[in-house]
Amino acid sequence: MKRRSLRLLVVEDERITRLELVRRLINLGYVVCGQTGSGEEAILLAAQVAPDMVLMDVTLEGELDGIFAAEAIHRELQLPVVFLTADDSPDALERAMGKSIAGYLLKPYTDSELCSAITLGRHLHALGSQLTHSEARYRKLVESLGEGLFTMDVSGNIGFANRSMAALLGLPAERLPGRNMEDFLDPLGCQALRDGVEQLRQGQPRQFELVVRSTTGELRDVLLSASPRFASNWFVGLQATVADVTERKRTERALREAEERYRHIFEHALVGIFHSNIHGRVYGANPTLATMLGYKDPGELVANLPDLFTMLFAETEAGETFRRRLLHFGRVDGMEAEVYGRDGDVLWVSLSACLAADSHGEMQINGTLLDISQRREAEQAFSASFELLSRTVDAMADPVALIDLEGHIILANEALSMALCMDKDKVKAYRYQDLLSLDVDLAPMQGKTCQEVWVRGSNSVYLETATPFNGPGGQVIGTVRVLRSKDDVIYQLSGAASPESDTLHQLARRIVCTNISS
Amino acid sequence: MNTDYKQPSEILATLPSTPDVVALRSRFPGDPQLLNQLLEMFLEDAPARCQRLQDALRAQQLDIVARMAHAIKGIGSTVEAPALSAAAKAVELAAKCRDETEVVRHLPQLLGNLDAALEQARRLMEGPTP
Repeated sequence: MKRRSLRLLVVEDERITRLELVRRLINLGYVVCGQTGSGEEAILLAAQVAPDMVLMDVTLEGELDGIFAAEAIHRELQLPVVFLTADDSPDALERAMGKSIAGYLLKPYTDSELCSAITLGRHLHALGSQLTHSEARYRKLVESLGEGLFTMDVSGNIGFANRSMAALLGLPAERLPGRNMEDFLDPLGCQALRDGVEQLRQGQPRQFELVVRSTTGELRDVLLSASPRFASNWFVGLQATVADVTERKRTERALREAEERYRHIFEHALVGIFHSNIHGRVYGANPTLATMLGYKDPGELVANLPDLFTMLFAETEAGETFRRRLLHFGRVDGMEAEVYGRDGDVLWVSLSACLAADSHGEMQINGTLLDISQRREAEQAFSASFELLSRTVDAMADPVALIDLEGHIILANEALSMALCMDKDKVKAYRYQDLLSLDVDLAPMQGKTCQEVWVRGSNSVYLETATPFNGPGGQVIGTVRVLRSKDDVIYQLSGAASPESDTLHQLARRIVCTNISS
Repeated sequence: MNTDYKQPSEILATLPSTPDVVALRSRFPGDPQLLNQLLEMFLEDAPARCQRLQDALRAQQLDIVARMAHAIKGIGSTVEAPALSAAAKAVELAAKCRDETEVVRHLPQLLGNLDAALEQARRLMEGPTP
């Protein structure tokens, strides 16, 4: 702006000095847009006439002195103020310059000194405004930080703290300066802070964790990222960002607990558990699996089983089937196979496995092995027993059926087939109670029982003997039903000498049939 | 020892005690009306300030003494009377130090310079256009 158009407000209580100054300014090409001798009026005038600059005497008539008025004008209207004063004492200078004023000119002054002071004052004010805006920008940035930010001296006294830090400690930001950081820490935390300060003294930034207690008593885990502050190579304190890591610590604790829980399950599971990569390289197994396969510990198992698919399975084909199913379907459920133990022993296992991504996104195989050798032995023994039973039953003259708990016929002999006038294989398609009288009792399992039954289609009445039948595990899986002709029973009861007596046999059958139909 | 050192009173003695008309004219060339206005104000304001200073001294109100001396210093500077400004400054400093004895010691010099300056101003006002 050219000097001619620069508008000035003159504030001077000595009217003679004011008159002389105004005339000098006009002669120098400035525009004097207002003049007054009082501080109060100066503030009002400045607001009304909006000058480019205020020239202000320090000593003024009225309640407000020049410094107070200048401060108010600078603060409220952001106008540059140059002091004109005859007071050259250091105190006065310090008092005036402490108020962010644009300039200071000692009386008496020459025209060129006056012009220089005005020009320099405007320049300084512009710089100051830039600085103020810049500071405001950075302050806004600091205040809007999600993380806490604070400065502290070596004794722990807080110098500056942003809003996030204040919220963490439960106090308004303006009340934090002067408070001691140790007020918010327990004795252990105080010691940790002091140790941290001592380490910062060496000049290197460092991080340390603390637990702070807010004024409301809330405990928060925080991570301090602190760097040292030096003044003239003298360590004066620290500045730090403070991240609230309470949730992270809580999650970590929960994860640790969960891991411990799952590790306990893993190590004490009754089934063998393993982890391997997609190529079958085993890198983890639980103690149960190690024991099952004859290794002294999981470490030995992992070291000796580099390839699950080719080295575990006794039958190469089984290993290949397992691999193919797993890679194709993503899982294998209860595949039974023979596997090698450490010393080459073979044992039967039930194998289940699935593909899953690990924490790095790599696919891995998680699987379980259940030792079913005993079950397989029992099944084989049962199978042999069953075979023997089948042969025995077939050889019996009386109709015999082996039925399961729901009445399905598992085994029927030739005699039963003949009694029912039905092919032996067809018999198995029926349920026992469908072939006999409706009120046949399937319940008796605890021992031999007898009941009278009627075989459909043959008009024959039989006396049935039911005996529980145990499976390979020893549990009751059904009953053996032996049917004896009622004729034979009557014959026996009547004391007749021979069951081959057709007449008597037929007679008995008739009697029973008559009884049933009546 | 620095033999060039001079006491304030010695410096004061070398300064002109009355308004420097030439200097005043050179500041506002071609504006005799302004010069008259300044002298007029000087004749009214300076004695009033001086009277108030003396009243305050009698009442031992040294802060007012300092303030009035400060005002006279400024007025003296405005009318180009450096001896008057220097004497007023000596009184102002003594009053600010709450040294009444020193104020009393410097006061006659202030009064003398003021009288001389007022006399010169009156002559300039009454005489032909300076």
